[in-house]
Amino acid sequence: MKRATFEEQNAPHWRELEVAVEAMDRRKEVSDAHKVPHLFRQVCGDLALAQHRMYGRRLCDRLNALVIGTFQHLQMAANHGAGAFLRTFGREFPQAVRRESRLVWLAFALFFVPFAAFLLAAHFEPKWIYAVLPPEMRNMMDQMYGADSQNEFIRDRFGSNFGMFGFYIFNNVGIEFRIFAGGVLFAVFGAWAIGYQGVFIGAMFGYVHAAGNVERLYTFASSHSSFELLGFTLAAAAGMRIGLGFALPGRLTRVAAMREAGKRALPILYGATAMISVAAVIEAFWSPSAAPPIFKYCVGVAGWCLFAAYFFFVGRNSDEA
Amino acid sequence: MIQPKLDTLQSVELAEGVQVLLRPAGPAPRAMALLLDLVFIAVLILLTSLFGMLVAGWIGIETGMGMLTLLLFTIYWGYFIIGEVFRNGQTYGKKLMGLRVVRTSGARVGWGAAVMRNLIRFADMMPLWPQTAGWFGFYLFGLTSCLCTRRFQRLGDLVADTVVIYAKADDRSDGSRLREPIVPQAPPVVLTREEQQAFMHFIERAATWSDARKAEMVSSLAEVLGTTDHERVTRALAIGAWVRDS
Repeated sequence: MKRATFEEQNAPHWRELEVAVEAMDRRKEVSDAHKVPHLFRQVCGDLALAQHRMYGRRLCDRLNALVIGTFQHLQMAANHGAGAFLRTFGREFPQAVRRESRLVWLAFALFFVPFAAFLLAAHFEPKWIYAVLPPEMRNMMDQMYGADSQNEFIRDRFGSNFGMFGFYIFNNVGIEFRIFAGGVLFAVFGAWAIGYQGVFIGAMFGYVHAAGNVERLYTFASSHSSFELLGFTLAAAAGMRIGLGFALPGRLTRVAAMREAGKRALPILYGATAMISVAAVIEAFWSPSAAPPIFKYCVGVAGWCLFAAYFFFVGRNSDEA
Repeated sequence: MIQPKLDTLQSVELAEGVQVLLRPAGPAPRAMALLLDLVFIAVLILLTSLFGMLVAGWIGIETGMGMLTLLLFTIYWGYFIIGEVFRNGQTYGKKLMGLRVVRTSGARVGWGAAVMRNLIRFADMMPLWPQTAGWFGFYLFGLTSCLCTRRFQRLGDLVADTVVIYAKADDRSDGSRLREPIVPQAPPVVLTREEQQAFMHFIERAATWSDARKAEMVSSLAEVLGTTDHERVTRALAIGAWVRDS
């Protein structure tokens, strides 16, 4: 059959499908939507014929684009809805964390060892803290948690809890993504990033221990501490997972190893982002509130215990070794 | 011996049994699309800031600032993700350049892939531009990755298993834009399938080549086609036209 005849015979079908795909692209109503799968199979057949009979690049390209465009819409979407949410946090996230437990413990250690070291330094060798913290940071810590600081400093600075919330989301989630991206690049940068956070935050805490009002610091920080610090740790672990996939691909090619690592790291990243967002909520609305300190300490400790229980016990089923 | 192809077309077989061709886009159109996207993001940020300042008059300046920071954050991180998931793999910049993000299997980009490739955008952006506090980078890692992979994939694409393709067909691939009209002429011998295809590709792409290039391409068929360059090229085009129209 000549090309012109072929085009003439089949152009109406192609036109019909092109119109339908255009409507689907714009999320508009498609009339006769039930015809689309049938037309799609027909156009697939036409494309295969056109390629075999060498009807020319123009025709083949047109049909090629049409097939790809329809294929994108005809695919079933994999998961969405409430079931997916429960499944992610009830099963995939804790399972993913347990599967990467070695990296998670490594990130944990990279953060908390410097953190604890600087807390100890507050008692024994405060000069380390002064070496790490620049004077502006020390002034800020004095203003926030100094022995004679005003109570409402933080809220005055941002004016409202919502203002603080916005800032915390922007700042903390940004830090988290940078830690993750650092991990992706050669894993070492991620390790460095989380270690740096450990050093810096440890120095800040140590400074307050040495020269500030410890109670003010802990009443503010304890409630959201578990969410935020564990969130950073998990983001670092997720990033390092991908970076290690590249650096130590095992028996796969480097690219395939990164892809597999990405699949394993993605639930951890989702979970870490959720945790840090919740931390921002708590940090902005609950932590600066006037609730009694003992209450806030309890919330903080409860947070840590709950996370321990969550990661050790939730989502276990008999398939997990 | 089968020679590896020099082109960048990736063929993917769908479940329906047909092979579709994906044309991955190189770093240059992608860079243009990115610049356009950054311009759009800047415009969005400007508009939201104006809006925020208006609204701040009602709800208090600090709450307004908080809302504004949240919105800025969402725009900065969400623009690409929302564009890719809800707009058929096209952000505005990509749409203007005629590009599209798809999975390497030809399928649509889903949430997981979109999130992953845009978070790793941060890694592709390195080295960062220090004066902009982490908002802009030089994309050296991404560029190197594009140039080293077969399908021009940056690091985010490699991990998320996506590729950026040309969404529209190349409308230069048509023999009808040649300067002189071609009279189809049958070949002197019966051609095999590969030879027919070669002549047809020749006439389809002839409009994009210079005369010297065309002459160079047919020089290997010197004995069969004729004596002068011009004659050979015309003859080759005539055979190509014959194949195409038959």
